[in-house]
Amino acid sequence: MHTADGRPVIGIVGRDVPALLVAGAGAQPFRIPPADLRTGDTGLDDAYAVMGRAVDRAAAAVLAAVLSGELDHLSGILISHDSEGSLRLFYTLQELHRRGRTAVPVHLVDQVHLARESTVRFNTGQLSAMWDVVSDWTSTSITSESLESSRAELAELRVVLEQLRMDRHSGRVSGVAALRGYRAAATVAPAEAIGLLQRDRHDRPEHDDVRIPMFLTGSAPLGDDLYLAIEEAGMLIVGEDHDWGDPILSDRLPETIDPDRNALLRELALARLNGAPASASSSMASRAHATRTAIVASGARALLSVVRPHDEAPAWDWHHQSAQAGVPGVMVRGDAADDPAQVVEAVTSLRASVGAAS
Amino acid sequence: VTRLASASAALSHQREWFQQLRAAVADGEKYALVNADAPQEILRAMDIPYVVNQWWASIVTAKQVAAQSLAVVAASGYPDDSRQYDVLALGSRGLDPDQAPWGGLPKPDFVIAELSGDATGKVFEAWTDDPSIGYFAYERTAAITPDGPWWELAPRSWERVFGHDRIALMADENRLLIDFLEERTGRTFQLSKLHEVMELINEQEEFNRQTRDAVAAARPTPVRVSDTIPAVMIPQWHRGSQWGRDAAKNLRDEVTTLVDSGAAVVDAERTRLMWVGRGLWGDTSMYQRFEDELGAVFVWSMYLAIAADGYIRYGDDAIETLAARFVGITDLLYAPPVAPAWYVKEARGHGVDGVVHLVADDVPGASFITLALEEAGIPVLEIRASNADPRTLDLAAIEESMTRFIESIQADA
Repeated sequence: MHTADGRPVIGIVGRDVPALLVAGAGAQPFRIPPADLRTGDTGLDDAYAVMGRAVDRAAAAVLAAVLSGELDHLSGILISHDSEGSLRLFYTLQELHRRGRTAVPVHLVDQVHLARESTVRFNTGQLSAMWDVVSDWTSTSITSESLESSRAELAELRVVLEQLRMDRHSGRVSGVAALRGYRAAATVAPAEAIGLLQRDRHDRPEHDDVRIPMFLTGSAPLGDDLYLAIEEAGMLIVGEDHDWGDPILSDRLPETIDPDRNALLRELALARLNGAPASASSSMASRAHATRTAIVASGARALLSVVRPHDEAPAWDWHHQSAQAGVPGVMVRGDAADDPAQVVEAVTSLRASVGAAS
Repeated sequence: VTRLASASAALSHQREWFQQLRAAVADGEKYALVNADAPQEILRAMDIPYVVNQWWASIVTAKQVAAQSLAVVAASGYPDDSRQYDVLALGSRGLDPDQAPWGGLPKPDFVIAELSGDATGKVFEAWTDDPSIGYFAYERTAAITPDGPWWELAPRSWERVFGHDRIALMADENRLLIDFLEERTGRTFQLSKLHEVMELINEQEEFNRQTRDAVAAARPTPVRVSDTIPAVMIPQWHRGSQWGRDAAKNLRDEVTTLVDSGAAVVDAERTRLMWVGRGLWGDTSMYQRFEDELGAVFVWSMYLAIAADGYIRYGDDAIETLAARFVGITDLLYAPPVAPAWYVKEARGHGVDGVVHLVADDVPGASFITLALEEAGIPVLEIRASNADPRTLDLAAIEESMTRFIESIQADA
């Protein structure tokens, strides 16, 4: 199955897979957005039966989508080693494919995350393997020309996303609109995403939003409901550190395509290593520092962490994050994080704290 | 059958060794706390004392102060329901002195871990809230599909099991660890010493292989799993020492003597069982009842078997060979397709009638291990529990389900 213009589509899980290489191989990168499936959903229960229940629901939701056949049109799925959930998803999908139970081949892009030269070398090798895999899946060689063309399209898209982020800081774009913008950028062709983002820009209100600006940390949300609940409860999400939000822009695109393959891949590996720290692959210290920096940059006056069950890392970050944030903060963890009423209750208490502090 | 002399000797040695370590630390010796999945051989070669995190967790659990240790973790601002086994040592540092097992774990000067899962790195980073404690992390790369049965390839053809790049990365990190330790201790690493350590380890694990093979072939089984675990694991924490090598030899000798004499855990052995996953061996009375009332005996746990198959590496470059030992050691136990095939091999080799599979929260691929065993015609009972958090354990329910499982196997026999 291909896009309307005949290109194959390659699925991506996680932020560590550079879309540039996928596009350079002539495919449409499609970052798979996990659906907000809940216990009792047949597909989710099927996924848990294979993966076990002690796994982040985001990974199980992607497995559910594969098991349902709705992703059978993909030429393959590239999975980041960005979290334990993603790694388990890879092992599971690899084994299911080996057993003939799923149609879509998978490949792990095993980029690891310590700021060391040895890690950069390993990650560069991983990207080289990915290069060969996507070329094989698409039967298309990656060339400097194809990469430059893809780079230019992605760079144009990033300009529009940067504008979105600036409008957001000034209160002219809601958090949920930004979330949808980032999702569009990761799931449809750049030209289509730019069209969607520019159309949305025309619809933006003349006046700045008066809701209390807030920074969101914790688990990456599944769907829009969490953002909608928070913003309907009177806070405006002006920034976040999950991998479906602002951190996407922190992984820099090359300004030019180095004709030397290894040099280009090294640059891509470094771009991710130097990007915003993700909870599951970064130290608590780096996360706390990044949170404080982002709060200052975005003008947030409150910090909310929403941590799903079995998403272990963000709960560890909270101790240092909250201590260094410089603004009032609340964490909602576990089953409560899946309950909109309890999230709204936390937002209400956070609003009161902000009011008391101002 | 009484307790193995090897087990008693190992337990006795461990108490003596730990008190020596405490005394040395009190005298100013620097020591390391190291996670089991990170290489310890460099510490051994540099004569830097170390405690293995999981061993200390087992002591905390056995002394029934796990819940109190987790409460300390929570009071520090960290979650007490994440990576509980890894975090018990950290929590135990805050126990009242009269609660602390074995006099208490001294404050380490450095901690070393592999970045497995989403939070192990954070658990070890939490130690550095005390800025006098240094932290060295190893990357955790993902398992690849081996080019054949790993237990045959790993000793000499390890790149076919783990891949060149993964081993090269860990070898680089071994060199960085040496720099880290030299800088902090003033000691000088000697490659020839690491070679000696590696040779002693291969000898130790070859003895373990012989022990495992003797147990696998024996009918009825001559030793309890609850006995072989300390007799194997305590020497494992002393890998690379002459004591560790000799302890493994003594265990081999004792087991083969028992086999030759026809010793039996259960005279009328009816059902041979395999325990997959971490152990729930704190209270052995349950297993005694299975033996006495049902003639059912556990003949296999991963501790002896992985010592036999997982650690032997013969190579000229000790740094690289060490990397080849550790780079995928945990994958061998949990990751598909690496792990499931091995459990099937071991189940067949030991002639088991059924498998009890403890599925912990933090391991991948458990369902594929169960599936592979069932496809091989071996019944499996899955138990979902954490062996670290006593709050999640319902031992009565576990005993009841295991009883039903054994009875169903015997009914089908």
